[in-house]
Amino acid sequence: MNNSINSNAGLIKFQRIIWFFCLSYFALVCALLITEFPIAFNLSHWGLLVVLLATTSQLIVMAEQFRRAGKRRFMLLSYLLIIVILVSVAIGSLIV
Amino acid sequence: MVPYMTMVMGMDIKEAVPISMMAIVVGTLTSSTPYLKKSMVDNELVVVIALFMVIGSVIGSLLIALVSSSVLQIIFSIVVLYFGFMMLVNKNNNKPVMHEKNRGFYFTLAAAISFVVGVLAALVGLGGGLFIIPILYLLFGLSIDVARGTSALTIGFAAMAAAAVYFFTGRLNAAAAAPVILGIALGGTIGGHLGTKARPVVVKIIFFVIMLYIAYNLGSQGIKGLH
Repeated sequence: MNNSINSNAGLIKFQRIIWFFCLSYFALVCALLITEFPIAFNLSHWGLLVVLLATTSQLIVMAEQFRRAGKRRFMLLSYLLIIVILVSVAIGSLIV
Repeated sequence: MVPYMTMVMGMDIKEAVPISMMAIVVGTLTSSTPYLKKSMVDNELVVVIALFMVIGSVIGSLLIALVSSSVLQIIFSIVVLYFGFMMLVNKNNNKPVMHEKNRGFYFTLAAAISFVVGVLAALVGLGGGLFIIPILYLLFGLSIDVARGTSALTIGFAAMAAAAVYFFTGRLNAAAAAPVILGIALGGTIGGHLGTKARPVVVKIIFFVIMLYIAYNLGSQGIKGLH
């Protein structure tokens, strides 16, 4: 556990970027909701997509951390998780 | 979050659930940063648990039509109550059960448990993350801090699949989600910082109260469903 804990710098940096994006972008969207609703709606839609993509990218960051730490099995599991999420989204979207 | 949006804000549950899922994604990703900084996350467990929980959730959601959710809700309410109580009274957590030599066994166990939790949580309509903290704490012997940190990151990945389905099928109200996400991004960070500093006994009491509330809700829904 300690090895993975000590190599979290990339993940922390990435999460900070997501956090800053969420804060600034959605604050702008909230301000626009009062004055320009259609623009705000569109912006929010794209913002949500970015958040979902960022979450997926975070898994890639984690996988690369595992690769650097020589934990190949967990790197593969991280990429497998991405594939499973994408497949479940595809199945879920088809069923719904 | 869903009860607040439906009862206080008067939002339809079909609109509240997708927003809540998205909020979980943002919330866990922002609140897990302080835990990562303070070395309170087991990344390897995060990947294993999230992977098998997502697989379990997909299978569980496919089985919904075949199983009576009322009975499961009643059983789950008892399990939730048990976990909450055990978390509160358990003090023997100074010796981690999981260590370097038996990590393989515990990863296999984590995979199996996550899968079952994913299936059952999807059948009942609960987030599987609710059970991750008690399992890591009671069964794996992790400290309450590491259990919370690991759970915080896991839930985000597990909720992402559901949030993405809602998003791509157009059931996520982007306008209503914006203020919620802004609030969660702020609150999640503050909560994460407070969480890393909170005394374990305080966390246990808060956790017990939440589990009590969820057990009551689940139990009453299950009993109503039986009639």
